[in-house]
Order: sequence, then structure tokens, then C-alpha cells
Amino acid sequence: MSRLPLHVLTGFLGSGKTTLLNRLLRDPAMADSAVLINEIGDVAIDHHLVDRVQSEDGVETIVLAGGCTCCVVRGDMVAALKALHARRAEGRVPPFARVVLETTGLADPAPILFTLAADPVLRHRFERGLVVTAVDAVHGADQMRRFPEARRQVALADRIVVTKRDIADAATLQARLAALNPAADLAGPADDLLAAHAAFVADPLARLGRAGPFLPALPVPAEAEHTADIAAVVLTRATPIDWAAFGVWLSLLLHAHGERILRLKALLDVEGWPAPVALHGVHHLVHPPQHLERWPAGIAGSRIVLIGERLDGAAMQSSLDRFLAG
Amino acid sequence: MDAAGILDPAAQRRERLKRLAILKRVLAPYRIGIEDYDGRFILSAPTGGAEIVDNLFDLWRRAEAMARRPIDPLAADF
Repeated sequence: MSRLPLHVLTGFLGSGKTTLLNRLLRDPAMADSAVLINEIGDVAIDHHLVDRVQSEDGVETIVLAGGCTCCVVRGDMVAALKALHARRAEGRVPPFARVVLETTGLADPAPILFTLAADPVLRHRFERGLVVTAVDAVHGADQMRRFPEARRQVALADRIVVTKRDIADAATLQARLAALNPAADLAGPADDLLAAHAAFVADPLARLGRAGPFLPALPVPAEAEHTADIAAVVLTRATPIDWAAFGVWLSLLLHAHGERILRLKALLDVEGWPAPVALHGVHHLVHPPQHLERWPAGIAGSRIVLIGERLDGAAMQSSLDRFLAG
Repeated sequence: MDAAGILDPAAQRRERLKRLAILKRVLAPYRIGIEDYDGRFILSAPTGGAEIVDNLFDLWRRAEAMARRPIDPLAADF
């Protein structure tokens, strides 16, 4: 049985995450999705839209008339995911094609990603999809300044959706977001719903392997807050990388500094491979490498984006260069 | 982290030996020996003890304990 993509939708308190979720639930293209939410009060579900409600073993699932399945997490995310999957297998909820997990506003997504990767049952039923982070165009910058959780949500994102841009100028915020997480795909001026929808519906592996977000990665914009505890560094290598040496170096770097490295995203030019290899990691966890079909236009050489707390980019680049030089 | 699954067995073995040679070079200054053990590693401590480890993540943790000092690729003396 193929694994189902499991996406994470996060965003700080008041980021517009729930509004986004409500709109997604009403989108016909999301009908074959299951959504895990924290509070039933979070989503505005009209009673005439509800097809059936099942509540047992502490897990409540609501099938909407449009076909989308809503599942309410009461504390135990792992149990809820397992129950949801079991109900799908038993034919009690529609055979959804993907799951969107909504985190609480104060959640750090990293432990959620670890739990999903570490649980032997979930690992076989779900594959890691995208982390989509909603950021409020009005309060986002202030929240990122004041709350480490807000910074971590941005740092771990594969895609950032700036909400409420109709009432605020998002240009300055976008520069700050790009400085904090140059590896994320920043939703453009298009409608935020369409942006998030594209992220959820598109093939997640193809999207993760996408090299677009690497393009603006150099150099880190001047807006970067040098006093901020979380920042991004970009390492580069113009000549092809020896895979064995890189693997040893990366494992050692993550051993010594993985606690401070929130996110790793790399596009590597590996010796003996004509096309690039993409790597993704969160803290000590590195997902299996993905072999892309071809180099994207305009990109040559390896790029490694590391996002974390107090990272010394110059020391890392010099360590990598020394290591690969043998 | 390895390239298993994308390389044929002979290439996997070559890759493993290459990795072993690199690990020997990294661990030598800490007076820790390392050998391949059917895809796993045997670490030998300066004091004579030996341990089997399954992967690189465990390897660095055990090697650090054997060396009784941090193994940090960013350190000036690495």
C-alpha cells in the first residue's frame, strides 16, 4: 500500500491559519483530503454540510458533505492519525488521498515531524509532506521578534503563506521571512488559498525536490537580524562532492551541532551522478536522499541551506571545504 | 545516511570501503580504530575496549565517549 502524504499546517496564534483551513475545506479540489484539527470550534462547520459524525475511542471524525474528512485531535496526535487511517481502511470514511495536520498556534513543528518519522506504524502509512506556515502580514514581524515558536515555525517551513496581505504591505515582512528561511517557497502575490492549495495538492516529492527556493538563497539579505537567535546560512561547493565524504561530514556536523540546526535543505552535485541529489533534514534526522531528474536551469554546484540557532556559516564552510579536500 | 538502494551491490561495497577510509582518517587523531563489520562498524578504544555500532549517529556518540572529548568538525583543532 502506498504511503499517504501528510502535510503540516502551522502558524502562530492569529496568523490566519484557521481561516486558511476553513477555505481549504470548502475547496472542491481538497475533497479527497482528511484534516486533523485541534478544536472543533476552530473550523466553522455548518450543520447542513455535515454528512456523518463518528465518535469512538476518543477520536471524532466528521465527514463533510463535500467529501472532506475532519478529525479532531484530543491531545494524542499519533492515536488520532492511526484511528483515522483505520477508519479509511474499513471504508468508514472516504478514501482520502492526503492528510493535513493543523498544529496549535504555539506548537514547534519539529517534535511533530520527529514523532511522525519515529513511530513505526505511522512511518509505514504516511510519508512526510510539506510544512506550510501561515504568517500574518500585520503582526507576523512582531510575533517573529517576540516569540521563538513563531521563528521556529517559519524556519521549518517548506512553504510560507503570508495571510491578510489585503490589509498590510507585505514587502518588508517577505524580506524578513526570506532572511530567516531562504529555503522556503514563499507564496507570491497570488491568492493565499491558491498558494497553499498548490502546495497540498501537488506531488509532495516533486515539490520537495524543486530547486526554485534555492535560487534567491545567496547572499542572505541585508534585512537579516543579526541579533536574532535563528538565522540561515548557505554553504556552497563549486566542484562535485564525494558522497561518502559528505555523508561522514554531515553526520558529524549533526552529531555535534544538530540540536541547534532546525532545518537542512541541500541540493548536491555528487560525483558520478549527472543530476542533483536533494537532501532534507530536521535536527538530527535526515530523510533519504532524493535523486532529481535534472539540474534546474540557472543552477550549478552544490548548495546547502542550514537554518538554526547561532550558526557560524564561515566555520561550517571552512570545515566542509577542508573535509572534502581530504 | 547512505546511498543504499540506488547503487548495485558492488558499488555499495566500494562506497562502504571509501567511507571506512574516511572514518579511519577522522578517528586517528583520537586514537580510535575502526573496522567494517558486515555493514556495521567495530570501534576500538585507545584503552583496548571494542564496540559494535550500527550507524554513523551511534558511531560519533560512542567514539566521543571513548575519546573522552568532543569530536567537533567546527573546532579549530579538528
